[in-house]
Amino acid sequence: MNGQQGIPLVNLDGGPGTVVGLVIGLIFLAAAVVAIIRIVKGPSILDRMIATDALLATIMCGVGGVVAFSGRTDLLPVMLVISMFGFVGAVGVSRYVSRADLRTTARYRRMHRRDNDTGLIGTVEGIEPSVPELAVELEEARLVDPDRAARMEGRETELEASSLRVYFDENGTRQEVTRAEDPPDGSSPSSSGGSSANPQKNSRPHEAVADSDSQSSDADHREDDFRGGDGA
Amino acid sequence: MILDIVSTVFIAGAALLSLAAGIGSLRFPDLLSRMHASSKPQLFGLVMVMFAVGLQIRHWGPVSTMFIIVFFQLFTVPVAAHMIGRAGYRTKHLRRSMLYRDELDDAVARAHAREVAERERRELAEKDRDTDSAGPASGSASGEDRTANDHDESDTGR
Repeated sequence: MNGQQGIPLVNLDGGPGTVVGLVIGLIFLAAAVVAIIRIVKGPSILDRMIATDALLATIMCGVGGVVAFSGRTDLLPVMLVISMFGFVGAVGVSRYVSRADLRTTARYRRMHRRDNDTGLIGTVEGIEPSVPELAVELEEARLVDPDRAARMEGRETELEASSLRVYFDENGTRQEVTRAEDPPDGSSPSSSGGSSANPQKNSRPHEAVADSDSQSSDADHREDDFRGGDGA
Repeated sequence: MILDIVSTVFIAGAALLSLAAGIGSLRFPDLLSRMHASSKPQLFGLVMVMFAVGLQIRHWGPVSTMFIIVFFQLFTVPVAAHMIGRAGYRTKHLRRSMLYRDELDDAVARAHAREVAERERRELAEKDRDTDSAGPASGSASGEDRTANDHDESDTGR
């Protein structure tokens, strides 16, 4: 094969090239392992897809390194196929992702339990299931930073006057739901524990952010978000 | 010897970019931040590896294959990133408090208002038609119309 004229850097008989090759291989291995960790824990399928892209890019660069080190040019079509797989997978997954697919791990379970407590989300036909990420954020802010939680709630109460939602049920008749009242068939908020001590107040921030969100006081929370990060 | 060192440095750079992408996609708190982190080695790392391969193997066959790979990535990586970001925005998988500015929000709000106004207008027209001349045929037609409108509503993603 004509690739043999490339000087093999790693010939595994000692020498400095061996050490350098092993270090580079270990770096690639660490990158792949970290990407796989994100694939395992990523809260949504889009996070998993992005981590998969990072993993495929790592594998492509590693295969390219093997080609450059050992002169095996028969691995170049493998790189082409890997890049094609990454593109097709990303486009397919992002094309058919839906809102129900999003949160699938511990954050989702935590949030879902909370919604069962308040009895609001998903009980009324036609009301879209709001922004659960924001609800989780508010919950975390209550635990970590009470000032920020108070600011978030204050922002919602500004928006409360305009929070009237119009939807259509399955018969096509027009329904209106304001934020202050419970949905008509909402299950009674069975208070179990401290998280549902005040269900009305708990239910507010999802919904108000869902239809109109202000960006005025958002930039203040950036550092808090980085610190509060992803928990686990 | 010099070429070996240069290509080794290129491959080490690609390895460090891959590691940065992995750590960034693990540590960043948001979908868009993770997209930003993980898109680094997809092109730049691959270009560095291509330079290393071209320095080591000076034939046109492997170098042209690497050119094909890099051009393929060059065309497909932005498309994939755009589609993932679009899906994340439409399914609201982003933290709004992480954004300095949401430039798409005005357009989405305007489209939503326009759609609500359109629906209200159609409802009023149906009500007038029903009060003027009530008939079962018009009722079924309005029912079909409403289901079509529901499909439109689900497509906006808002």
